Amino acid sequence: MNCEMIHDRFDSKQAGTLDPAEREAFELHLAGCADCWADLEASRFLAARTADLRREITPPTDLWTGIAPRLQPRTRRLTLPVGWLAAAAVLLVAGTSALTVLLVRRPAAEAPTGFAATEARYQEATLELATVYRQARDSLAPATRVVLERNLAVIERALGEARDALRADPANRAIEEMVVAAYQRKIAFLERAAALDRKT
Amino acid sequence: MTSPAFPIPFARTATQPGSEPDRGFDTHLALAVQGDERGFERIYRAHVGRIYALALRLADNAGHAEELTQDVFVRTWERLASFRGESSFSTWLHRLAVNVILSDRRSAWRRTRRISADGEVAELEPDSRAPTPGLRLDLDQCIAGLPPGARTVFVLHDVEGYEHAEIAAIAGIAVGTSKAQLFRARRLLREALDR
Amino acid sequence: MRPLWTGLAIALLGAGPAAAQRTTVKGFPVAPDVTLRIQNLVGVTRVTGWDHDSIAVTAVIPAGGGGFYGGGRDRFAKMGIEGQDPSLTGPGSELDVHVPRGARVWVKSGSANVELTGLSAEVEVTSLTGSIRLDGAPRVATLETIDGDLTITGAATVIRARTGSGAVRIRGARADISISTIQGPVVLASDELLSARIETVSGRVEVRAGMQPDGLLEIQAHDGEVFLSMPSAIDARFDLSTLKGILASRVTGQGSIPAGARSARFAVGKKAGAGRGAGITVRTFSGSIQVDSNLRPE
Repeated sequence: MNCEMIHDRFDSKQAGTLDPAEREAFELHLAGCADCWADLEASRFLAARTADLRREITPPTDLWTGIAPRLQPRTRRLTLPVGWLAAAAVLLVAGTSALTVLLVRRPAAEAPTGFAATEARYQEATLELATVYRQARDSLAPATRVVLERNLAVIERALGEARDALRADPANRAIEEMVVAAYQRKIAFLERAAALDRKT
Repeated sequence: MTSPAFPIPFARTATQPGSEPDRGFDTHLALAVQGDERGFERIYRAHVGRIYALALRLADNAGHAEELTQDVFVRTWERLASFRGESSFSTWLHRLAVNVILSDRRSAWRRTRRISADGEVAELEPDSRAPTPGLRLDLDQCIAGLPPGARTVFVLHDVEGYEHAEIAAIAGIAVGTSKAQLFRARRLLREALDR
Repeated sequence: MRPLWTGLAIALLGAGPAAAQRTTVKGFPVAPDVTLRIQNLVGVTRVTGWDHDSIAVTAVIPAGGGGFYGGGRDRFAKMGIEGQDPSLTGPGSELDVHVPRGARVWVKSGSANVELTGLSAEVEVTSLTGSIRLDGAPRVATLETIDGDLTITGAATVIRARTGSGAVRIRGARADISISTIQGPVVLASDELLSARIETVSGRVEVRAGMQPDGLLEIQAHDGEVFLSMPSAIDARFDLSTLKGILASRVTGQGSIPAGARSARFAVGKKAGAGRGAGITVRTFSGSIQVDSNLRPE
């Protein structure tokens, strides 16, 4: 068992879930490896102290005053979709002048799962950003637009190639990672481009 | 007394049955989804402590953490319609917060441009060296001194309970890199706490 | 807060409406860790750190090129050229600024080139097509451009470098480096890398570096080619993979990779053999990967 394998088994060792053969190999390695002893000791030393860290800290000032003005108004609506399953939670809330029927949970059957779910989220984020980017782009100098579009074309080509490869080999985790990286790249670029102001 | 187990992942305990706030919270969430700001303010007040603690440990200083916390809630408001209920709201919010904080590329230039929109030249962040209320002076100060990559992985894994695969996906690094950064962080913290 | 720069010495070169305008501010006192924002969209901006707790600036603005502004006090100041037309052809405005070495400097540019020297705290520069050159060792350097080139020389502690089509050249840095390009080439040279991450779509990546004992190097490219040249005494674990590209390795102590292989994981050196040592990960979609251990000390 080498050091990397020991590191991967730290949690299991602490939880007591190593099988006898693994436990023996683990302890045999520790007996001869000062570095892993130090790592294990560091992990144990930190465990209690980390558990004591506060997971909630009240900000020193009320941050809501800086949030509320930035909230874009959204229109209230009555949502009465057809065909919801019994698993949906329906809440009746008395408003100031009307009863409002609100649905907060959709049935799990409607949601994509696995990588499809991940990709759907990225596509949604990309679409939203692309809209913002297009609005910003139209107010930029023509030379700037050319520069942005040229770079964006390279990103989109790479994303298309990665997605094509994933369609041909859907279970390939390495390609999934490449698709995710390509989406992240596109999102990062659109965010930067959308933030350029009219002076550029 | 048995030695303590590795840090209980906070995210997991928060999603255990019964750990979500009561039906009143669901009402506020429902209102917020429909565009009610008062409902959203209740959500903010219920969750700001957790988000601020996360931001404080990942940001450059307290002022930056406050700005990031505000950004998280503004983004939450914009994205509420996409909350599908597959996970608990607090898990969904926490993941969104991690994404916002890690992808924070907003330059100080754009930050200060808002500050000076009305023509005022204003001070920027408060002194980052001053002690920050709410932080333990030992471990939290040492965490703040970690290199950024190691700090991110340590906070997400040992403090917030994320798995390496999740960290790798969010931070855009390889799983092996996440593991290596975690052990480096633990070594560095051990050395720093010994001094 | 009113701008408090009084007593500006303004001198006009020549006479008449077509003359360039020169503005000089000298000896304006500020805190040693002043935060300074500078804007000059067209022309060139030079920022130099010096051992005085004061700011000095000279601005040379062509006729019709806008006007100089500046203001602030103690720990915060801003300056720049306003009213510029970004589509202006010609040399643009020249801004020469001296600041305390510990100043935190933010510079905004469009096509203006930016040069920074002798700063030790934080530097952040954004430009569209202007190139950025940084010499020295600030603690944190964040440099972003879409089409300009980035050149960094010196041991900054944290570097964040992003371009689109521009080239990134980094020499001498060790600590925490993050480079991102779309199609711009990357050249990274260092004697001992601690942590470096490079990602590109189509840029050519060349790394000539040694690694610190627990250093991490991660490269991700779509179809950009990757060339790694490391010292012969490298002690590292390599994890190389490409989906469609060509993989070639000539690392001392490791046999050559079979032709047609798309991935290779191997360890070279004593620590790496035990699961420790530096970690080097390269992933490409179709870009070729070439690794050797022929790097000679310079």
